[in-house]
Amino acid sequence: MTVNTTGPGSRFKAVIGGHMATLGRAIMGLCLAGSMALVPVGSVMAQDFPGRGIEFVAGYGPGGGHDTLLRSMAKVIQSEGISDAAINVVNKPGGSSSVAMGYLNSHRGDAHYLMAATSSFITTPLMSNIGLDYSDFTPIARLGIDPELLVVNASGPYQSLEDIANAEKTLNVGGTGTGSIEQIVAVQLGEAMGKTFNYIPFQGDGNVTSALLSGQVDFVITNPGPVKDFIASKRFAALGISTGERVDLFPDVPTFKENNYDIELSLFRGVVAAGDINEEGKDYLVSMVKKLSQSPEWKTSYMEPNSVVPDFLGPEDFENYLEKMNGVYKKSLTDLGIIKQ
Amino acid sequence: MKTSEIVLLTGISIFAGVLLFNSLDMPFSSGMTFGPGFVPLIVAGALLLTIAMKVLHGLTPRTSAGAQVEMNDSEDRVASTGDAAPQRARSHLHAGLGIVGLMGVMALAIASMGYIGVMTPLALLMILVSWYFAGHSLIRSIGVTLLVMLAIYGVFALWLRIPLH
Amino acid sequence: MLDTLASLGGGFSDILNPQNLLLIFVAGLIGTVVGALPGLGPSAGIALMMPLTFGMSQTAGLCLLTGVYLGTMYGGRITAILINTPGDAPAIITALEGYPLMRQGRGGLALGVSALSSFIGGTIGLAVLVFFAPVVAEYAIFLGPSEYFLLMVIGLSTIVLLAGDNIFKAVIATLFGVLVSTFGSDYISGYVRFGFTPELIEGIDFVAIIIGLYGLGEVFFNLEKRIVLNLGRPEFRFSDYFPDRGSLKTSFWPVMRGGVLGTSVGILPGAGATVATFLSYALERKLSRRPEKFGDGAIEGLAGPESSNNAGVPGSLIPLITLGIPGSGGTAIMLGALIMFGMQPGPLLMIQSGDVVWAMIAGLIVGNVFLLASNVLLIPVFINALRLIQNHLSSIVLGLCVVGAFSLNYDIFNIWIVLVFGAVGYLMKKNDYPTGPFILAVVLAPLTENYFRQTIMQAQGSWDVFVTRPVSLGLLIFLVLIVAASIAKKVVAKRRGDTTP
Repeated sequence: MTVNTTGPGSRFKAVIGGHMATLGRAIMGLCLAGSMALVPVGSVMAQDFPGRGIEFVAGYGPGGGHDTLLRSMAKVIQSEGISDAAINVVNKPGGSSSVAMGYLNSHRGDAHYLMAATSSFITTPLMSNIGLDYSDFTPIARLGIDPELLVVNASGPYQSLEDIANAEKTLNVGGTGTGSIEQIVAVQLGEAMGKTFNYIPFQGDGNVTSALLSGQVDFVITNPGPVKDFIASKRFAALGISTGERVDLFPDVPTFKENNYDIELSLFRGVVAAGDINEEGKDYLVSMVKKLSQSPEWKTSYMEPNSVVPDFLGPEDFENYLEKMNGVYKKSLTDLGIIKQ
Repeated sequence: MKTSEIVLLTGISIFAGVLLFNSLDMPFSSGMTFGPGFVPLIVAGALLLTIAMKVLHGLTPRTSAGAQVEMNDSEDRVASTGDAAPQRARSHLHAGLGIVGLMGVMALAIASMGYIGVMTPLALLMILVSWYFAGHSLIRSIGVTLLVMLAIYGVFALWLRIPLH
Repeated sequence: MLDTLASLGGGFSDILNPQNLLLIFVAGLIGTVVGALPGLGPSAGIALMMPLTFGMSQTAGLCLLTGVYLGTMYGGRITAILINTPGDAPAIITALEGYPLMRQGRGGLALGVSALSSFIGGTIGLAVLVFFAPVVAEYAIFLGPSEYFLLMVIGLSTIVLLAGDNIFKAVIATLFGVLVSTFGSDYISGYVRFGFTPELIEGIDFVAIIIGLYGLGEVFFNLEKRIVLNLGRPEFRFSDYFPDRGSLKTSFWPVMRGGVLGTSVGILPGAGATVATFLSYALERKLSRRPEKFGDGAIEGLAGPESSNNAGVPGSLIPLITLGIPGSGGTAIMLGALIMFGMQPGPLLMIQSGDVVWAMIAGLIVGNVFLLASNVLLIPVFINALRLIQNHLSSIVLGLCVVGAFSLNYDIFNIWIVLVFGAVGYLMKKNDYPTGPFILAVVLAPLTENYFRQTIMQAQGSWDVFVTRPVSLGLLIFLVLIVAASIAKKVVAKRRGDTTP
């Protein structure tokens, strides 16, 4: 293997790359090279960057959302030839992604690291004093959003936003956790309708779905992923979506805005690099991620199966977006009494 | 009470005290139900109370049945009534202090893992345990430790791809 | 019924070729080894094997992953029995009864009984999966926070059985466990409790606690007392490794009862499997004619919980397959795997990819048989490996504990946790503080707290739900009955004790 790299990560990878191939042969003669191949660096690109392999940093363990995003990215980037740099996905789980943030910050100024950023990138620094926040990092791109849907059980009494606005009793709303985007949407919707909802936090999407299936809550605010099959099979009905315009995934679902409820809030999936990186490195990462987001392979292998709505934002727009989201979360968490001014 | 029990109860008391103090910052109740501070506050209080009762129970003179149980618990006290008592008590103390020392060395080893990786300090720790505590010869301790470390590295780092170094 | 059998037959015809069979066999072995390593469980096993499945067919890939998943369930028992280091909460009972057997030189018997119990429990669970999956899915969904809350309380009530003689010590251990469990973010209120360091935001890792408390604590204790195992030299006598007729007879009914408990309670998401094993343990102890043997290597105390643990394994796949709802960490990873294979877990899965799902179920059935065979054959290997290293066991277990803790998060923070709880475990053992109540409180206290709060929030402040929902009412009555029965028994025992000193 001819890898002109220096980092301990790449040395480690060179070793395991060889080993995995042996194991694969031992089992079935499976070829693993595709997923973990090491490609010589520097021979094709004329630039100085990347000087060695690029490390993708996941804030959660193998199999988690960050991990899936980054591993899918690495796979498509290599199979489509978007970059010939060696890409190594490392997991730095712990502390709701604060461990990964600390790790990335320890490589300040080095553009060879790309970290997945989702809502925890904003909320963790707000809720715990970890000495870092979103502004310590270089935004690269937002790849897409996870819109919030208002979903009811198809056999329940409420079949339109109007029904919900006119309900006489206090409705039970399910969502994941307190201080989450689901709760913020529920609170904003309540304000817009002039009602108070009884928000019940659940742990994870599965429990939210179960609660709606068995009628323990009147409606839920949730991402499309866990409920889209239930909507397709007519057990659930989506009454509203939190995007600015209707999305291709649910062309029949009206936005809250169409119903004159001014709510536009979604989860985001993006990537950031360490703070203070040079322009060359930043440009390389931005163009790499941009090319990735345009490739059809990326759409079919990641965006569609995970029900992510493509909504690409470049570095400047993403930075503004992060600032805005920070404000939204800060206000909501303060209103809920979770953080103090 | 034995020294080790005093250490355990002191440790738990300090832990409960810290949590009790910190849970005062969190809401005791919220809306319809209790808040995040409720369980830690109540439980830490109850724990401190129980430990106090346990200590008092140990100090006051008790019924013969109660004393019997306590005596069985407490090897030091049983030992001090026997013939070879002082010596045995001393060797107990010695062994206990050895374990405290081992914990200290282990703490040092873990602290150094942040800088030089997990494998080297762990190997040194294992050699120490094998040689000083389990009483094997130094050569044998080193040899066995190296073999074990090779196996661990092979399984965890090479096979399972855990970034262990 | 006939449809089901036909579909299952179709599944078998998909996987019964040498390549897939070999794949399942190897995957089961790998899973056993991964599950046997401290700190690594089904989530780690599946996640680590995932890259291997890229490029495989759907069927082959799922066979590999389910094989690993099932294998880790078998493997979890091995370290619990051999070195007193359970890999997850349901394996705690295995350590409680299996490790004493090992110390008595009957480790082979313990491994054999637990492998056989796992197999039978797993088979019961699989039968339920094949024939009653839709019914079970609706049942699991029907249960709400009030039922889960009461179930957790019933689970906690088994603390009484694990408490030992000194009530103060048991109470201290329990309350200490509750406090340890409060660390980290509380999703009901949104607060982060005691996030003194970033690593604590997600709470103290439960597996690090058990590695410290049982694994390292035992090392410290044995080093101080200079306890050295004496299991004799390695040898291969088959009678050592196969459970004799007597132990088979003793374990038969516990295994059956455990299987029923496992499929009814163990399949519930969250701590279902943990509660089921503890309930099974409590039940066997109540029914046993020699309850004093429990805690000191009782075969039926090992067999029942082991069976209920594994009966829940296929069961936990039911909500995943029928509704796309993962019930545990391991099944959450399976969900990711299904998506990666281009399938859509959810209510349409059986319609859209029924053949692949049936092939996966057939793979589980075959895997279960293979795992019994390979685990029984591996017993002499494990026992003799242990005999080989018995003189160096302390340092080797210490090494495994440290590396296992590191593997949890690829971070040394959990090694600190292991050291702290190693010291706690050593001090508790030295002073006869029972660890069972402590660990049960760590697992169940946060769930109890959260389900209770959810219940009250859902009822909008009313407490009626516990009596107006029929299943809640049933559980409540059951709870009152067992509490009343145990108090009555205590009173009777005390009277008798007073009259005959």
